[in-house]
Amino acid sequence: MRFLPLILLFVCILSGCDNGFESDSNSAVNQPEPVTETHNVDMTNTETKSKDIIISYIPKSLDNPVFLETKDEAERISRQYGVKMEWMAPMNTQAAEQEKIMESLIRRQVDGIVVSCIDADRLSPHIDNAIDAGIKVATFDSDCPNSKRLFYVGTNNYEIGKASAYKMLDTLQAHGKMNTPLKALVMTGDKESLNLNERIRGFQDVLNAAVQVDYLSVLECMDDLTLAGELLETYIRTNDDVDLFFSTGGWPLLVPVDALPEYRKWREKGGMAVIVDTFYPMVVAAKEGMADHLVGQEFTIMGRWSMEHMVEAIRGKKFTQTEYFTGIEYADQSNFDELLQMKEPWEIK
Amino acid sequence: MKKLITSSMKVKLIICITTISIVPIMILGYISYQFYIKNLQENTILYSAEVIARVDKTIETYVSDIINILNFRNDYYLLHYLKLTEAGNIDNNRKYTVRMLEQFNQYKMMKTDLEDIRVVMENGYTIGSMGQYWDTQSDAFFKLMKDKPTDEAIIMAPHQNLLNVNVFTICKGINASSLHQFSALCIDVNTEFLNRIVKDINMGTGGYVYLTDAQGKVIYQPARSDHLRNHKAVIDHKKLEDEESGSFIHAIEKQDYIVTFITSSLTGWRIVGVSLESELVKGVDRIRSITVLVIAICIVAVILISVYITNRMTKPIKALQELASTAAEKNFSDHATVQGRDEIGYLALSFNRMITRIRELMDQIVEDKDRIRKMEIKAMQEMIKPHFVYNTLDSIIGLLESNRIDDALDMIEALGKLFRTSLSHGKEIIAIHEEVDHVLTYIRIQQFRFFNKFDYEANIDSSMRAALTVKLILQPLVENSIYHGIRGKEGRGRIEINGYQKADHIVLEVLDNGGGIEATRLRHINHVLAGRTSVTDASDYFGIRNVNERIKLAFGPEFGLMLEQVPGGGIKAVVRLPLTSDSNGGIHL
Repeated sequence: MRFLPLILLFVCILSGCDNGFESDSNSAVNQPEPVTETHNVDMTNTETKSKDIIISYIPKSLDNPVFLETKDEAERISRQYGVKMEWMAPMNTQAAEQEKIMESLIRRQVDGIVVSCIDADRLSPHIDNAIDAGIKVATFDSDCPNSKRLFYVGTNNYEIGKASAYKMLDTLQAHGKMNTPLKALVMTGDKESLNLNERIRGFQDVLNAAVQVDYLSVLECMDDLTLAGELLETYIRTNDDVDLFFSTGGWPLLVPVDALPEYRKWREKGGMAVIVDTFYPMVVAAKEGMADHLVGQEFTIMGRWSMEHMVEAIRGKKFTQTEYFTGIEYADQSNFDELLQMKEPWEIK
Repeated sequence: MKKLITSSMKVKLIICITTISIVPIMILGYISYQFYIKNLQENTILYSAEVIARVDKTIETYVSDIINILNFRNDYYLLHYLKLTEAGNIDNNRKYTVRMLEQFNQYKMMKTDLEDIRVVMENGYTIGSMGQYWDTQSDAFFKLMKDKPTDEAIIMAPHQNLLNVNVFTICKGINASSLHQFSALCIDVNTEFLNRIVKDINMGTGGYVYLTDAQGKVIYQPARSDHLRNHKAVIDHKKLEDEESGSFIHAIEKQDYIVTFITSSLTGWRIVGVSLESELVKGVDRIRSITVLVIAICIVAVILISVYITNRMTKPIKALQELASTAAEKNFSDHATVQGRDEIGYLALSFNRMITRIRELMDQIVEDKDRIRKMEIKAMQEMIKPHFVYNTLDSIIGLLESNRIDDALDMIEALGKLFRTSLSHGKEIIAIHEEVDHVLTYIRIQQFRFFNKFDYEANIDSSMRAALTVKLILQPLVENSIYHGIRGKEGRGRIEINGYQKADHIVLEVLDNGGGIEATRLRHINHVLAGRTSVTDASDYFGIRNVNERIKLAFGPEFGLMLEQVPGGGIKAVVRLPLTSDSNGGIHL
């Protein structure tokens, strides 16, 4: 696994893609490329060479704001290439609905599909059908490695899980709890999501090797922010023996912090928390004491790389590299302020 | 048939009662049946029309709700989203995009039949509950939209949406002045809601409802329960094409269906209800069977009741009839049993009274006849008194001894004639001329016996000679005149016999010029003869009473005998008899 980043770097240089990120857990990732340009591109400037190329993105759900940066960046890139981009998903994370949308795109014979898989096993045959129908299919954020997809663009989820565990060990060390039996609470989105499970696996592999930890429960919030807050609050209120909390995504800190009084109390009592993602509101919340470390993903890069590679694929490029890992961003007390200056506040309401 | 009708009163009554009862029952049954069937047919069509109207109302209510949702097209955030989208402002449009997606999905949650709500821009870019995508077939749609006023909602025919769900679409245009492109807000409604509205509609087991658009294309069509074809038949009829609403009978696969349809004013859809006429007919057959059964039961009941009633009515009449037919044989001794106070009861009472009266009259007649017979015998006995016979025979002997053979033969002949008339072959009633001959014969005999002491004269109108009279009535009167009038008179006596018609009766008079009767006694005699008083001794006035009673017995109480004083002396016995005739003609009464 250590050589993987090197391999990725080599492949990226060969394929001419932008930026290969090291996934070394001990080094902070440089600041992500700024993607805050506003393209006042005329909507009508989507003319392609001979026929409009349509590339459809299928995130896990429409109500999860974490994918908006991917969407916006992909849309900007699509205009540069003169292709038409679509963004279609069920409102909530529902595997069956995602499959229906996939099938509708196959019927419409779009040119490319970029999908974040809710349930890799269920979606795999549909991806294969699309490939067989002549549609280019790639994955982002959550992979479907057993399918015929051309490539995956997104976080190395196992590595980000490991990185999160390392950050948790840093916190445990700081609190002098390395030799204490610990009880851990985990939150994830969908228990069937491969990417999230990989994060859990990475986290557990590192943590289990270093400390004695017992995993009390894995809360499944189905990518629903409101549900995430409720589940966390309820569990913390009814179980007072939780030592540490790890979330495979940023859902609990994307709700207003006022909605998590029990969690705040737990934090004040010394509860340790590491959460994946470094969105602006999460950094704000973490700065207010709601998390020790944030380990973030490069959603903007996901949008850019996925669109670029898909356009190349549609134009006939053959891919030898099937995974394009985006970088990891770390946030803690040492750089919360800096990140808040760099990042754009979320304006989604 | 005629023989049956005229056979007996019982049969006549039964026929009458059943005819009077059955004919109205049958007429009433037929009219009721026809009226009910017509009513049933009308009600079926009316029910179908109401059902269809209800479906229309429900659809229109639902579609109106959907159209109300389309007012979202004027939403500030929506218009702002479109403006930023036109400008290509990705960053600033993020929050509006999220808001749109949330809003659309809220609408979807509010109405479960909403498959999608979306905004389609003229270039095909679409944002809806499934996200953002390009509609590459929107040209024809926008051409249609632009031809319509912006405020008019357009309902598109059913089609399959992106997810292959059968939907129909309702759209309204968005034509804000701040926008460069024409856009439309569209709502996709799952056609399953039509099935939900229609599935509980009861059009009978073979009936169904389907919908078409204004061009006749099917919007909703129920599936068949069998598996021969997927859907039930769509009606092909000119009336469906030409008219907005109505009903008619249509044959499908040799079965008649009642088809009722209306056109929705809001959607322009035709809602067609089809019900199997045979199900109605099944009801009609049942009604017909029940009607026939009821009529048959009524007829049987009427017949049984009429038989019973007529039996009850005719039984006493029959008893009376039998009694009447055997009354004479049984000598009017049996009486009818009186039951009830109805007409038949009174008839039986009257019959009994009649029987009693007949019996009394018969007894009276028998008694009278017996009395007459006795009186006749008595009269004959009086007439043929031994003294009269002896004296007459002595007279005859004397004549023979005197060799007055001719006179003797005259006397003998007269005596024989006298006896013959007395008997009159047993007849009680004889002709007047016979009676006059008899009395004249008697007078001649007496004239001879009394040595021509008196004269006699008989003046009988020839017109009344054939009239009838009781026999032996003049002789006793003449006898009285001789023995009580003339025999004691000094000088020559005279007996006059007159007979004439007076008004409507006959008068026979026997006059003498004897000594007469004292007035008081005469009055008493007449009172006795009139029945106003009676005699103390049965032998008093026996002769004239005998004559009087026999006349009254034979002809009635208004006839009879009375005595009058003759001016200058003497008595006139006046006999009043009715005008009668004999078998040979004569005077007719």
